[in-house]
Amino acid sequence: MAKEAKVKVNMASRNQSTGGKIFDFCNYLLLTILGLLMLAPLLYVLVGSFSSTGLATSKGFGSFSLDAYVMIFRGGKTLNGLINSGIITICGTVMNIVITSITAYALSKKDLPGRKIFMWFVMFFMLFTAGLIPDYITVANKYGLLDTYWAIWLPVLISSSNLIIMKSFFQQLPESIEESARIDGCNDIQSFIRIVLPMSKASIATFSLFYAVGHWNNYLRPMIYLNNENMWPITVWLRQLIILSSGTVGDDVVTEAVVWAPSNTVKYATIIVSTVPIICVYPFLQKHFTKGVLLGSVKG
Amino acid sequence: MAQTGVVNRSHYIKHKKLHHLLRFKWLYLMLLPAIIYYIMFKFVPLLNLRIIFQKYNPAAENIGIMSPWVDPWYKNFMVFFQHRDFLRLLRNTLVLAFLNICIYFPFPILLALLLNEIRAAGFKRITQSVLYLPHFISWTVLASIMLMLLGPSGLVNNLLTAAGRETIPFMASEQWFRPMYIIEMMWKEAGWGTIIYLAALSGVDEQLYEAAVIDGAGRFKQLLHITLPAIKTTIITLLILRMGSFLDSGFDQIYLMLNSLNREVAEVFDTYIYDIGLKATYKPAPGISNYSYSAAVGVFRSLVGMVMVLITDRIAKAAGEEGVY
Repeated sequence: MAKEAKVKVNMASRNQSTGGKIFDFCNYLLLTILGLLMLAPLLYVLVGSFSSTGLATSKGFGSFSLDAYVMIFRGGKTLNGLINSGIITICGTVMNIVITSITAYALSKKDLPGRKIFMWFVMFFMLFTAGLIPDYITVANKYGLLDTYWAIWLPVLISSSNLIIMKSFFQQLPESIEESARIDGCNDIQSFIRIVLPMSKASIATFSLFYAVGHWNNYLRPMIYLNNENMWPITVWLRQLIILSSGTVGDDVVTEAVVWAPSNTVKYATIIVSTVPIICVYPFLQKHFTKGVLLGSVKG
Repeated sequence: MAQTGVVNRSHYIKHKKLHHLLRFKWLYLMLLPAIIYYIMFKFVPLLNLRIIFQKYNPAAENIGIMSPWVDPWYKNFMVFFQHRDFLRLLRNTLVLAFLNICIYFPFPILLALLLNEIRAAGFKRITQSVLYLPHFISWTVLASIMLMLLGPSGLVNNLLTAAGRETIPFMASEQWFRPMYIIEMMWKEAGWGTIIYLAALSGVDEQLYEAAVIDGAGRFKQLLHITLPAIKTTIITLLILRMGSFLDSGFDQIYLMLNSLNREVAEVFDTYIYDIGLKATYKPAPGISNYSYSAAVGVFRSLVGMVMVLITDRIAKAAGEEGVY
């Protein structure tokens, strides 16, 4: 009761002055406008994907049509790209999460001999990376991973910053529960799976989201490591479809021109289908997500 | 007799040490994949950096012939620093880095402060979700949308033509490249960037505000004396981390915006390394390998980033902040 009253007093006093009211009004207005600006391009594309004319200025909206979506889902490169992106994202994220969490757990044990040296290496590689060319030579020429998805998954198996945040998350879990598990005869791996993981759902969800977005949206690595068009994820195919076919990319058109020039409606629909899957993941993880990031950023 | 005692003792100590390490065998097993990962994908590429002192020949290396070393050892760097591309790339990259830090970087902070002043929980949640949305969109999608809206035959230019006006070359001209770069950056990442500041702000004790109100502080004074100090450490930490990628302009974004009409201002180290090293669009100078040359450019970029981080970190520490490293 007392707390409620206090908050009310605070609210009231914060809203008292006219200046404050004007500020509040402007603030709401500004954020509404910003929000609409963020949404507008996406809404335009979404509407365009259902328009038979592709929203061409001279012809208007035309009629409602699902033709573009029917065409995409009947098969062909776009559908193939979506499936490839799905495979890359799901397998990649699972590997990322398994390896990052077991590593973070081991490193969260302060008495582990050699832990400091390992952390030092992690920090060093965060500060200095060899760069694109040595990475490419190592992955493609030395390990021969060209034209395999391993070239996309393995070089980014662990994100050092995610590892460090996850490690500090595990460190601040109460030790007493694990201690009792150990007395009951659990070894480290068993207590990690049975005790620590169930307590870390929010954290796991957050990092899954980070890794999944990274995989789904990645463009550079598939472009350099996959020469085989049938293995391309949707990002690489989309560039081929829209940017190169529009003819503005001066130098590249000559070498990489696409013969087939798709209609605007198809372009819009392709943009939508390549965005919707990853956006759909967000609400599922959102509940855990704010909690997970909060923990990481406050404690990390 | 005495000697056997010593032997036994050292044997005992060794045994104890081994026993101590064996207690951690499961943890080491869990660490093993990461150790292999860091060796194979971080350390080995570092060893392969030797090519910056060589004339790297992949075909010969594949059959086990070591590439010849260049003479003098810094030849690849020398060629780059004397190349006519160098100053142009440095200028382009620095301009984008400064735009990034001076215009883009403060924007999420401002946005977070505005969001923090919103009291209506429903409005706040919806606004946040909308602002986060663009982060989930790939640069390829963003570049495609931009082209459909602002390209030569995009929405805006079609409307301009219909109205009898001249079209604006948003996507393919030198003067529009930098504004477009920052606008795209803000659209995609500014909302997402607020998360970490909002998290820091949610940790502020509400009693501080109450005390400030009793002391007669207005909204602006509360912002200045409570809210801003609460996120100061976060701002500085993010700034230091941002410095590490100072010369890193974001490959995907720039590469997808790049074309022959804006190349003069749009080409940066990232895209140059890719174009020269992997696509081998042209040979920068006779007698050097494209791989070696572009790897050297990459090392230069990494080193500048590393120095920038350490300098910023030192400055922050000197100013009494925590620092990162």
